[in-house]
Amino acid sequence: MNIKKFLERGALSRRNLLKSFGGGIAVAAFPGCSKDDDGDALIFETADSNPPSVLPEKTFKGACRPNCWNSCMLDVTVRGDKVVRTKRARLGTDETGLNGLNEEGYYDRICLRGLSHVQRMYSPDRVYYPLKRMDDRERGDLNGFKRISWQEAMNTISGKFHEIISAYGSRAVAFITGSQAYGETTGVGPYGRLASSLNASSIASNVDMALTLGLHRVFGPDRFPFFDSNELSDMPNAQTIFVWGSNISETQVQSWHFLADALDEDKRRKIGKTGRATMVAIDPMFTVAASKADYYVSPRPGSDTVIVLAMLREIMHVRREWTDWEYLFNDTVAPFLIREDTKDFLKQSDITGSDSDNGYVGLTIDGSFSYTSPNEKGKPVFSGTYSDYDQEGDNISVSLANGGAVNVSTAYALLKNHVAEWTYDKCMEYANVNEETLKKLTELFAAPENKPVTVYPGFGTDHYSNGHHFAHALATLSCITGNVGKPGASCGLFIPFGFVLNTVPLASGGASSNIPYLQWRDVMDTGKFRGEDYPIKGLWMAGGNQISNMGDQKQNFIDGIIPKLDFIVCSEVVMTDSARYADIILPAAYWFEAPDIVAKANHPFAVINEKAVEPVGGAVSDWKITQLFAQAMDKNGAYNIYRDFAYTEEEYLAERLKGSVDYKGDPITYERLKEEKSIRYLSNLAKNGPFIFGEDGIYKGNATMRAEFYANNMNLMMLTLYYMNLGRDFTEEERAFERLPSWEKPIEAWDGPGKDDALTAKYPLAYQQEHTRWRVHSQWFHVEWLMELAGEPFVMINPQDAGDIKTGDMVKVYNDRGYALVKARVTEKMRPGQVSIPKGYQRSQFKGGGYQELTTVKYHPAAVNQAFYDARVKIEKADI
Amino acid sequence: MPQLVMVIDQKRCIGCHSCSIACKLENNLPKDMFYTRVYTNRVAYAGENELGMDEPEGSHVISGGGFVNTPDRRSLMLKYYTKGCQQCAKPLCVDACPYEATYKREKDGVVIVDYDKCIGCGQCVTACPYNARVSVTGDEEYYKGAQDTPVGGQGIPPHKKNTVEKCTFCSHRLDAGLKPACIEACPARARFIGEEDNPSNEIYPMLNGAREKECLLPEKNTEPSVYFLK
Repeated sequence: MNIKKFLERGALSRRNLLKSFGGGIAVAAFPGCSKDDDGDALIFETADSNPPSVLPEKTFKGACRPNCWNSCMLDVTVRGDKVVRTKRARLGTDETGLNGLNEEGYYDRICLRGLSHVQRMYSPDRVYYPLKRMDDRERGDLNGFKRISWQEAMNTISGKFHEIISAYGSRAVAFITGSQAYGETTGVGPYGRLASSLNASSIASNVDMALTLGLHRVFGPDRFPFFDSNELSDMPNAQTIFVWGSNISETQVQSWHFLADALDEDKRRKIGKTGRATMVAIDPMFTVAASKADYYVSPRPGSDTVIVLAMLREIMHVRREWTDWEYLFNDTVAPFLIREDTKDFLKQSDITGSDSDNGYVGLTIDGSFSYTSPNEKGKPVFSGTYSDYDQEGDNISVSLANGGAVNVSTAYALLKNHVAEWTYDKCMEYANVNEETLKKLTELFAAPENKPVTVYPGFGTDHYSNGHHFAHALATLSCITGNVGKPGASCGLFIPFGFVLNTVPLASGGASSNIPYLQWRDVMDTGKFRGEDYPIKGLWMAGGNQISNMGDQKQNFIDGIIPKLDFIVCSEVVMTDSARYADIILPAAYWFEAPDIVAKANHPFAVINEKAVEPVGGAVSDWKITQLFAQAMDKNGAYNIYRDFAYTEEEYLAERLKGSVDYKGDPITYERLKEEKSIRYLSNLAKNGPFIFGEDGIYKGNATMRAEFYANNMNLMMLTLYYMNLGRDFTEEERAFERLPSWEKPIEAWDGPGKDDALTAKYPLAYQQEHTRWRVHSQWFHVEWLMELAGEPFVMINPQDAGDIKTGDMVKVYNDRGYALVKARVTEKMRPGQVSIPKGYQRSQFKGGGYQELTTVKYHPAAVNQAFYDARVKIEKADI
Repeated sequence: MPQLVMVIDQKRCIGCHSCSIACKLENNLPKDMFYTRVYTNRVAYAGENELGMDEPEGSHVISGGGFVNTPDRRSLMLKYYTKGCQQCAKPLCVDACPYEATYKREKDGVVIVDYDKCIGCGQCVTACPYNARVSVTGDEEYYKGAQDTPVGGQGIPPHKKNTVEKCTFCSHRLDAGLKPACIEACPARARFIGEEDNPSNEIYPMLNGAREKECLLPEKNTEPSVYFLK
């Protein structure tokens, strides 16, 4: 590039200026440029081309913490005042929990996203200063912003919020947050605190809740969501691994090596196992993970629950010898008696008439009853041979204290009867899985030679409206086969969210009200939620890019909700789909620009994140943003909320860690974490192996202390109280239906028996949004190194569905809710009948529309979960 | 001459491109330039973009409701070849260079370009059957961390216009006692390096064990130094 060209381009936007200034040769054309003096010439061409010397640099510990779960520890290298490199660093300090496979540090990892932080931090799309939408510009105009001072930003926001709260009450201000960072001073954390402090409304994102609901129904709600599994370093102990609705090999590439080791005979020999494990993948899409599996099944989208129910039938009715009777009767509610009239558990007090008798009733072989205390795990009540238990436990009459009688059955017998309808033929008809395949899957899950079994479920099944039934069924299957609570046996996710963190008490305020995103538009239209006034006028979007990640993006969010809001603030790191719809954008510091701690991950370590550099431009940490706002707000009147934020970042982190202990019971303090960098807080009972979920067989979140495959906890049958209060009453029939894992067809995607003929004719293809290696949800959407490989948005379609559409053609993907203009990719990755647009591209990256316009806000009332994959579309060639 | 070889375990490799990005970061490579990239079986030696990436062989057979894949019968296949310079024992590029700018290092057999001697004539680019070399013309757009701070590793040879570049097995890192950046970064732990004939090396049992191994384009008689374990 010559000087003239360089100067011409330099006159353009800052974005272009940055790019051209980045040209190595262009820089070399300015030998007198002072910017070259601090080391530039050492990398780029010099007159004498002497070998370069070592540049002065400093390395900090950083925690990469998007919501990919992995929270890797990185070495963050700084030269001058800039981060120039990230690399994998040591996570963990000793051999505990590593399963004897600690070559190169078993938890040391990085991925292509972690390697490209420098481009995220210094991207032309980075928000450098507070920005205000210009008066003559529409919301959504990417170029409609001008720079303002922090003072003007905070005066404007606090002034507007004060105005709204004065007129409509504190509920009229709402916060919507996402999963941008698993941190405490960066990302979502500070805004939840601010919403509570202000008594404001919170919009819950309703994401990934179905998997949690189903698993927590069975294993209890005493933990945060997403924590129902053994530590990942335990995976090589499994004999069989089911990867079900997950593409671990793209979305958690950092965790793939645990699974790869299970498939590696040499690695298995080191932990005393013979031969490699077997891998099974179940996914309608031929993912990278599926390509690694020994057995791969491509079921009809949304039918996974049927497969589990049919496997349960195969075991309970045909291969009864594969039942783990001991686990079933010692650790689950299998022997407990269920009343036919109420569908509820028979209580000791039902028989004795004394309210102080609060035990549950289980059956013994001679027909007498045994009581178990809810305060300690009940001892086995069964005294005969396990195999004939169900014949004794079905439909017997019990005399009650009130003089009446009621028919009861054991939970085991109810389940056995419940799954009886899922024959081979029916499984084939619904799930497109035949008898031979089903029998083999069951054998792989339950036969002694294939145990222990680990299931690694992703959120693929969760993204259909019936996802909670799948998870409930899966946990039940694991109970029946005893694939729980042992090394190599588990069936959930290992993300012990916030396990070690203290909730720093608020001085003011209280709990903010949770409004489900899935009902938010109704609340905006009616001004009411649960019958009460919620006149929401102000919105703060933070810690995530919710306009990109919430269902039915255009009709529901952009056109349905955004125009009804008087004022919108967005805290962001880069210019996202969400930021462009804000009236004020606040520049949030990037992860290595502020001190932080991370205790949310798919590993059992608390991790330090050291501040490596000052934030770019005028950015400050999310914690400081909330501090600045609290100060400004207090000036408006009697809010008095700053006292909840009167901590420096590091003081706050120290408070958060108070009361935390490591796996030995020793305190984890901020000072200690700064010294040791990472501290393990979980291991197994022997304190030296991988953490094993349910190892003691005590499920202390459940009233029975047992695994409740027959759901006992009313809150968990319906998420109404546990996560989401819809203000909706459920009928007795609905409640009874949710007790056992059941089949319900997906709301929209379904094209099997009972399908909506008109809908499937109008929109012939099911639609999902593959999560790929290039992004974590929408994060990294703008990173050029990755975009050189990821390319522009495209839709994947099987050749059988493509008709005259060829790879490279522009096509319009559409339904009643919206559209996306994309290139077509005709590929065997897709199952015939389903298409996919990779998730996370921003609206500005599409030729028209966007991937998230096509998704729905229809939901199952028990799960209140976004069913992103439960959608149908049509595809046509586009003339552009 | 001792020969360093790289071993890529295809059972572990998930085609995630972390090697490509680690290389790009380490060597501060400009826009659209990669020393190493990931190819699938179907397009192993051809160009590829996002519309062909991860493309399996075979077809997505669902009629009859059987397994698509079992250990004995696979309807769909996907495996990855990460491809950079093959550090050939008999490199055609070295023979093709009129200026002796490209040569094999005595100590480890790594093929190096001396940017002071190279004039970018491109004869090596044409000679290389693996399309592993890239011409640097001076029009490249280099990314830099922030305005004026170059990114990447220490000690990379300065980029110079009118030269040809390629993967060096991160010779600057080898000289500092470090493994190449792609190996350090590989989350699948699928990449290994070592001297080919040294039995004390971790790659020795891999190359001399029961696993079948493959090199790219053996018919070109270049004796490439990158092995794929099947």
